[in-house]
Amino acid sequence: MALDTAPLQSEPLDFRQSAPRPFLLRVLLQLVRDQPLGFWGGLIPILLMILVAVLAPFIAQAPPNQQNGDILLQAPSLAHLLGTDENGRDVLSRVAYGARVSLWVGFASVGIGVGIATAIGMISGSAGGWVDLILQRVVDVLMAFPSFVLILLIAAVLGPGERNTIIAIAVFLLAGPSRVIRGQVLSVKGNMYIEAARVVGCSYPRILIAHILPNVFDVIVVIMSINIAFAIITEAALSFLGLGIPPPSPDWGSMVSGTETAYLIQAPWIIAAAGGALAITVYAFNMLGDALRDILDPRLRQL
Amino acid sequence: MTNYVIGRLISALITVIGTTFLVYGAVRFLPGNAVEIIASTSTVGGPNAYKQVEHELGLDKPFLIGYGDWVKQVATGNLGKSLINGQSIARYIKEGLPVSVELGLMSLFFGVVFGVPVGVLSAVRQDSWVDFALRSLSITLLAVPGFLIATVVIVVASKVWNWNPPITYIKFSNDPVHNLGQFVLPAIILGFSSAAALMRFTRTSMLDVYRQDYVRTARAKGLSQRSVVWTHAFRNSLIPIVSVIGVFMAYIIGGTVIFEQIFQLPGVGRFLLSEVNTRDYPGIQAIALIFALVVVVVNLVTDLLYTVIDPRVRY
Amino acid sequence: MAENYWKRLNRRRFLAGLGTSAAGAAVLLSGACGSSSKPSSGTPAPTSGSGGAKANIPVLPEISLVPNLKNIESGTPKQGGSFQAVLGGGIPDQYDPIRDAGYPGLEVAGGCLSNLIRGHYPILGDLTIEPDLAASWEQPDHQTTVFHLRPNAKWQNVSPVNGRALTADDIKLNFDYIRTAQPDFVLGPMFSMVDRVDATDAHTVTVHTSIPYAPLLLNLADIWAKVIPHEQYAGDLAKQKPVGSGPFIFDHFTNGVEYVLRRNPDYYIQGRPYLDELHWHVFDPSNPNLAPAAFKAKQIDTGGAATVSLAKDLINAVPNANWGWRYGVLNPMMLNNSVAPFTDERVRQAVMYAIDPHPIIQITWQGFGRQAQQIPLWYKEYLLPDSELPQRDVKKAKDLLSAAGMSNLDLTDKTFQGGQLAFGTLQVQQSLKDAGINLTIQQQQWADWRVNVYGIKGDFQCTMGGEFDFLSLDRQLWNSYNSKGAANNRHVNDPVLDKMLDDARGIFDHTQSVTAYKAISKYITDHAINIPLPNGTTPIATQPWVKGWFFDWSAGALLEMNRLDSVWLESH
Repeated sequence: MALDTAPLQSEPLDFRQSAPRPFLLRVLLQLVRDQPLGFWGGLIPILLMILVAVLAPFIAQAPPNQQNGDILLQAPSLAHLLGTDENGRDVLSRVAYGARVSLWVGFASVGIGVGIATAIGMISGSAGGWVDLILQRVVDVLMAFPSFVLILLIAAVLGPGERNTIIAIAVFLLAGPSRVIRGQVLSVKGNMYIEAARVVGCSYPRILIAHILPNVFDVIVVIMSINIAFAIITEAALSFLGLGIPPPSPDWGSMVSGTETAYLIQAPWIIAAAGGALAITVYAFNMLGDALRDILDPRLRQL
Repeated sequence: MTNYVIGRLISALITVIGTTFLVYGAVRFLPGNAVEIIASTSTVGGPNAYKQVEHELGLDKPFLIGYGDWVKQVATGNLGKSLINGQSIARYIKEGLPVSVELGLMSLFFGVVFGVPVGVLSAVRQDSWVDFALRSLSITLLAVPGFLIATVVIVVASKVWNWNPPITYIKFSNDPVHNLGQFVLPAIILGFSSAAALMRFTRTSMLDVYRQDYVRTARAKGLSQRSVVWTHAFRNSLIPIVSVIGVFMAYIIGGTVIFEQIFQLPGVGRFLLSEVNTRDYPGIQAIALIFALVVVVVNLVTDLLYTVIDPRVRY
Repeated sequence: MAENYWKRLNRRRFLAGLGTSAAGAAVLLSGACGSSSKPSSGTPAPTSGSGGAKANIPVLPEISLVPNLKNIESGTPKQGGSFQAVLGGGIPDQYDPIRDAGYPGLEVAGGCLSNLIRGHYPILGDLTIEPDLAASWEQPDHQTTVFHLRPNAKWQNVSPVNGRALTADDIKLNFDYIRTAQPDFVLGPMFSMVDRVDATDAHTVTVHTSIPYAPLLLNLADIWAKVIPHEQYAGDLAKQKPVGSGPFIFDHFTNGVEYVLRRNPDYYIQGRPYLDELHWHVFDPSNPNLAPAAFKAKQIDTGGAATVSLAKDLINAVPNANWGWRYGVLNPMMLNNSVAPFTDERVRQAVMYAIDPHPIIQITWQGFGRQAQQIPLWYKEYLLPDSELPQRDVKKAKDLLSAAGMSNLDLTDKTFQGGQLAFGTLQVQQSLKDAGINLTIQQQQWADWRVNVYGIKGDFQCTMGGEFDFLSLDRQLWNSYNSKGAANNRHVNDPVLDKMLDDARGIFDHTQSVTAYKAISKYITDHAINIPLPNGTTPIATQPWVKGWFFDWSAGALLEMNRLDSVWLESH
């Protein structure tokens, strides 16, 4: 690409962009300062939920799968703070352990899916030419399927189970995010310092990792946080349909499934607890995603 | 302009071909015992069941030949027969499409009618309590899964009023009023719960546009608020909104799968679920293809719509 | 071997589809003599509803329900109406009950096809065998049965039979068809001893068996022993609609959604059927709310309750509904007798003694369950006394395990989707832990399970499932436990048991028959060949305006599908 001979831009060239920075700290401070909704409504609930998941064995008043015929469908009480379900299992325990499942599926599927999407997007965007063309056509094909349909199909082929659910969601997430990341790479590619790095003799992979990736990082973070909410809801939907995590595993999706709604009237605490936990978690990740987007790059609002 | 259109058409075509590859390939690489299982459940029966099923799935021919055969077959409208009961898949899809399309369109209608104005309102009253309230509402709708709202509504309605959604599908041609009545509830719930994204997107889009110079100019010129909002700001924010409606449609299509199941509507989504549960691969293949085609077409249409809405887009 | 047989087996799905699954109470059948294996000669008059509220009908612990079934017999039958019912057990894939029809196929086809003789087992009465295509019959000796067909019997006026007369030849051909030695003809072993069928004249059929075979009539009254036109024997199962001589003609369907039958104007019983139309709906089995909700909204005429609380709710919402329940389908823990560790009888017994039935009754059946035996609980005379049934004994279980050389045991239970929530699987897992037996539950997709677990492969150690109860104990036990049985998915190969089962077939004397079958039941129990888990029951209801008929989990499950010609609807 030719040297840019346009008049000086209003902002000076910022070589600091290619240097590593204390990203997390910077973002955290900005969150607290500028984005109250994102902090109190997003990050804090997420951290609390993670805490609940980690401390589940201590929070739970009984093992999540232990059935007890003497205490079926009991209303919340001191012995069981969120009541019991139709098998005499402690609801609080199941919600807490369910947090483990949902959060794990959320993080893992997004981590893997967006991780690979990043690689695809970076390779595609920086390589250009045939590689780009072919990769993007593959992405086109993946994006041609409605999100839930694609995930349903993969889950159908693979079968139920936690691992397969993660794979199914991850495969879906390969597509869309790679597009966005590719766009970001394309816009970064044009910057002068990349040109400069190439002139100086940096190898291709080094340019990718040391120079392009840090600038794409912001986009990745936002995409991840938004998609974790999607992943958690999708996992719940799959379990609702009987395709996700099989019973008796405590997971929020199956706790609000058709078989559980049979008890809605006489034991509303089951669905209220699981549905509430689900809603709070999804809400929080959405809020966090919004806030991160506002902080990291207002131009990213188009996401 | 024509170049752009042709370009998009070619691109869409390539995508379609790619999806046929993916759809065919997915079944092609089924593990061996999956074929065994199909063979045991199929009505073909007998000792040659395994071979028969292999033949039906085209697994006894090399990949490209099998692929070619399948594409040829599909192109002539023969979507294959169900391995479970031998019925024609095309027939199911034909019967189910009107149902799904009706649900999809009505959900889209409610989603847009609810989401867009609320988004606009939220943007115009940015950071006011109206904005916060609406944003919270939209996030709540996004956070609580639509299927949960639907099942709770039905259970409560049954308990309180002994009411249940109709259990048989009422064709529009037979009884338009009752047909619409049957679809209204699922469409509203599906539309509203999907509208959240649309709402937020409209809001951000409007906000972006609002800050643009030309809006300030319009204001400075003394134009009425209404004129500023609708004639100038809204029209320009339409571009990204139209693109999101395309994505929104994909989301709704996914939603129809669950909602048809909950509300007993015999659409393509419900059919897909039963095919998935019985591992009826020809059916799964056919529906996947149809869904993909719909999405490609919708995207194509929205892309072409851009050229109408945004005079700047001329490739 | 038995793979297609087990297609019919998904009781939980079936019940869930009806809006019932794991709950209910037991009403032991009233009636003094269980005439279940007495062959009858002549044409017994149907005995229905002998007596009203019997003193020995236990009351549901939490709900005081008195079956309102006397209401069903009152009034004068009216012509007309469309009956809305819910199909249980999935989607029909084909309709030939002899070759292979799952429950849903049978429910639909039941209205279209006739038996030679049919059974009737009202909740408040005794089992009787009634005429269907055969107007009368006699048994001159223990190896010969002569059936006299109705002179006006004819096939339905649809292709391929086009209303022709149904004669003895058709029956003969049907017998030949049943006896075809195909592995998936589950009824085959029940009639393999039929060595000659003669159509002595147009309306007389003589059936001869090579051995004295006592259960012949009961097996012919079985819901699966339908009479099918010979034009359909060789056809493509998937494409053939059910065509027969029954009260209803298969009209149209939308697969997976609804199946509609219309009245047969040429039905051989004058004035019947009363209904104009029979409309079967498919409900999502994973949603147990749907059927009760539809029942409350008066959208369906027959329904039930998935849970006790739903039952209560329904009772309050539809006060004049007809309710009935009894213990039906068996819930065994099936052990694969031919693979380790269950080749060793001590290990099987250890598992048997380790299981605690009490939590199963409490949790899975919500209190409405009963400890079970090897045979359905309505075979009252054949039941073993409690003293002869194994009681839970964890120490004994552990001792047996050590005797077999193990200090603890790892087992894998392969179950189908949702199966772990039914049959008491989770409670079994929990109670086995006390004896050092570690049960891992492995979930498979339904088709996988059917092929690998129940198919010839038998690739499993143990599994839980539901088993139908049949009209004859011969069908119940011989088919399942004889090494040549078509439903021997426990892979039992015990020559002693084989002989006991073969011998029992030839016993015509009622008292001796009871003794023989009790001995078989005890043998199976003592050697832990099969482990029965508590039975639950399913409260079923019909709307107050449904008359003349009650959809009931009677013996032979779905027996009442044989009697759809008696349903009539009051105006409502």
